[in-house]
Amino acid sequence: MMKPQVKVLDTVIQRLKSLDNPCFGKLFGIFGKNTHIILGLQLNNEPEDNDLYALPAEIDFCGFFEAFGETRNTQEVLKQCSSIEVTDNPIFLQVKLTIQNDIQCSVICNNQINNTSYSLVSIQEVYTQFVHLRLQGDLQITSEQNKQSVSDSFATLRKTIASGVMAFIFPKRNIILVTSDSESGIVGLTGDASFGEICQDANIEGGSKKKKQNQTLELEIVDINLIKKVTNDPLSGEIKGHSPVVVVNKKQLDFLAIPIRVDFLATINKDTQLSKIYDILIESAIKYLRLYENVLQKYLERYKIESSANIPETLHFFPKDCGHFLTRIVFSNTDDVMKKEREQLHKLLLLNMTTPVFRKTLQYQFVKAERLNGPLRNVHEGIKPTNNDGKVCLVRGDYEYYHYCQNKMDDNGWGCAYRSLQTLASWYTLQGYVDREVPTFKEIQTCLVSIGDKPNTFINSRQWIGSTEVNYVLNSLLGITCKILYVSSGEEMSTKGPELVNHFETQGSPIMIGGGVLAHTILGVDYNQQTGNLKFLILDPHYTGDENLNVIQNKGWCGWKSVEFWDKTAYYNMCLPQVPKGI
Amino acid sequence: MVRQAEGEEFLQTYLRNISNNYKCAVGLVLGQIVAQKFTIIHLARTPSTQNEDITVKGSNNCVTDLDQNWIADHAKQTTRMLPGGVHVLGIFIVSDEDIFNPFNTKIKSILNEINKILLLEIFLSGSNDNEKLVLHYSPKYQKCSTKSYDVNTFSVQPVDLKFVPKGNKLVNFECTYIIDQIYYFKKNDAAGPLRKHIKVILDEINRDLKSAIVLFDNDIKNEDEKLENVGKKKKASRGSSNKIAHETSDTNKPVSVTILKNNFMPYAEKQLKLIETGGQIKIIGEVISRIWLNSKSTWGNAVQAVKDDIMRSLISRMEMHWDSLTEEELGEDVNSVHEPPRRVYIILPESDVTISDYLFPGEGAEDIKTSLDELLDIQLRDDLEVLDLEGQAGTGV
Repeated sequence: MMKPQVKVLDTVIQRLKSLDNPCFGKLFGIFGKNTHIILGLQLNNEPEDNDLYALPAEIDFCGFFEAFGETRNTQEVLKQCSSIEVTDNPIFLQVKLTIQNDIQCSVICNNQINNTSYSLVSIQEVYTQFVHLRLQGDLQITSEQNKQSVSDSFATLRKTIASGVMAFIFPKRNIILVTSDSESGIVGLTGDASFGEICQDANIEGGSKKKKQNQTLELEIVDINLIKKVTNDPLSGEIKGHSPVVVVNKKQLDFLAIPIRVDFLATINKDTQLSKIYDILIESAIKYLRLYENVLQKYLERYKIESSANIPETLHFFPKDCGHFLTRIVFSNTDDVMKKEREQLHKLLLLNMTTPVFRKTLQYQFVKAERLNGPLRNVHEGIKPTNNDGKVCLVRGDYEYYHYCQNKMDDNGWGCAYRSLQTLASWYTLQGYVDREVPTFKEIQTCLVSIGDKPNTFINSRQWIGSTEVNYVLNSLLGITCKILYVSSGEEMSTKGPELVNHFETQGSPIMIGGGVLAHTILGVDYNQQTGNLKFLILDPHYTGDENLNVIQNKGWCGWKSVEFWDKTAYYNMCLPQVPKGI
Repeated sequence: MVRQAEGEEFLQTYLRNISNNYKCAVGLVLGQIVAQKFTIIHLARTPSTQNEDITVKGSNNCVTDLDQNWIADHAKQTTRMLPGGVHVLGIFIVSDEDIFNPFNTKIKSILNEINKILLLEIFLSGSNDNEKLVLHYSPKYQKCSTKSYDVNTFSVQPVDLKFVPKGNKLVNFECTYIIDQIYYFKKNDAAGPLRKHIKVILDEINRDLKSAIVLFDNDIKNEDEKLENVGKKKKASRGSSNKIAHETSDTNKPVSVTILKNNFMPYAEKQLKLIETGGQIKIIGEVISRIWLNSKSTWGNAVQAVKDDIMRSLISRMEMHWDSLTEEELGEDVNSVHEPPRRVYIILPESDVTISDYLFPGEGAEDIKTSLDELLDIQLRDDLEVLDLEGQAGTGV
């Protein structure tokens, strides 16, 4: 038998490398015929954490990791192997805690730990081979409001789902899966094609997919709707039923009507044959129901529903540091509880405690959320690189480009700092640090009046603001603090390389620069330590045209500038917004 | 273009025979509308009213004597027996009167009345057409003529009638629809008549059916395509699998129908609700649906006919059941199991066509013979072939 190849997603290794205390946890991955891919990990958790999240169907619990200093506890690993269902040969990653943490990969076979080699894969590589199915559909159950009854109702529903009455439709492709039978189970297509083949067909029909030059990850997501067979197949020889009868029961009963909006993902290899997908989708629905039940039971332990409660929300996240989807089902709750849950998740997944990834605003956007006629996002993407040969440090994450004359407002000549401020604010909103919309001109002016910085007449005026005001507004409206950097002349900007590199590396937020003259936004720097040359990626708020990316990029409204860009005779203040602690 | 109507020659013989016994007779024209064409399948003389002295044949002397309510009731009762896709297309009149010049107002009222009674119960009438057919047979001239009358616009149009030796092939469809529907009484609303509560359940079933996906022989069909190629098309692609080739060799095999309920419900609740109920009604069981359509019909027609059939069968048996109960039984405030009559199928003689009847527990073939005679004017001397496909519910439900 060929030894299967073990691949490990680089984000998993990165997180294991950053460990500095002994710990123990689970590995999750996709077990293929010849290749096993480890996609995720999670610290060994307590049972009460099982309502926090779920991984897509097909990403299964498949092994363990252990970080150890001097002594190892491999017996514990061997003992727990029986809990792994997907394979008899779980993967075991041993992390020896040293300065750089040595990682050894093993396969457990008959209670023996056999060392094996592994290779790293990047997210991009993984998702050229894997696609996501997103299953949606409405279900409804009823139950009395107690633990046992809720549990029974969910069990019955899961049994129904698994009983073969469900079917699945690919709405955009007119393919229906009615059973897992490769001959009669697939409707609307002859033969048992692989999933990759039908995706290709659809792409040809639906116009060519836009190829992006930049490295943003494009995930393929295929929508699937849950449907249900309501007829018996006359050929199947199913037990003969009876004509409809009406059963009237006048027993008075209070119960809970529980609507369930199934919304779950499965991660599948493009080679997967369609006939195999039926069972995967059943598994997706069941996994969703298990998570829903856990979340609901926990909710009902704390609250009794007196008349009604909003149904919980389903949120899908794709944290870049994880490299896989995870799905949460959450009831609305106090900020404190939500924050605690997020922190717990970060801990379980070994994510850093500084960059939020599970805020609601950060959920995965299945439909690209760019507003019609709204500001463009990330206009620097795809721009011609510099020839500075230095260290390039850029803004991290999405921002919106605010500039003159947007939303039919004529601020030409005075609104540039307001616009730069809006770009900064959009970054905080889009990263999920703040829950408010980008402030309007009026909100900015009102804010400055209310903190006593400006007189009442300032509201609705056309007076410009500078970096000090930007700092005040970010602080009072968004709760963000800024570091202020001062240079006495444009020439002096050339000395700020190390500080700006440090800002983009540790904070990653866009910088507002103003002072004696015009205001601009700095999106990044290219700093060559050898030559000392510094280039600035500038976003210019003085652009008055339409939201036309070509013009913005080709006419230099967003582009790399050298030190000469700054006015030698003017002083400058830079507003470096800091990232709030906490997630 | 003048609208067309078509029927097989035996129908002409039927009209001729009526004229031997009646001076003025009226009956229902039953059939399908196939590609805009009235396709007549059966003619059923309306039985004499109770008031009539049946020993004196032809007590209706002229068209104005006809009882429109009686005829409309005949239409309603007959519709219950028809499979989805088959309708009361209009009426026929056997009389020497000239009813078309001018268009007889009594006929207008009869058609209005029929339309009214059928529209009262939309699940019974199904996809109703406002344009009604009137077929007139004059014994004196031994001639048929036809017109159509639109009950909404009052417009009268000429119709071309043709009798043909043999009509188009019929395509059969078969389906077993599962019902498992629950309804909760609101806390203080458990006492009201069951009929009202059941209506809510039927509305839900109808809503689900409307958005349902229908497969034929486990395949998605183009709704605009005609049924003509049933059994032929697959043969061309033979070769891949013996099993498929074998299956399609039997062209008379009914097309099996699969219905898939759409689980995307925009109307779904957004809240977990604590509901105080005064109890519940459950409808559980299976409706066996067998329909047949002219092969010139489209798959879209078939989808509609299957859905219509299920709703028509449900409302028919429920209505018959409530009609059979006394006031007291209807108002009972106790737990109860109601067993509405089950649907049985009868194969019409010398035809592939099946029609349905509903049997209460204890009823049998003789009762069906009576309905056939009264409602469809079919007299059977031989034993009746009854397909009793829906099982009777056991007592343990």
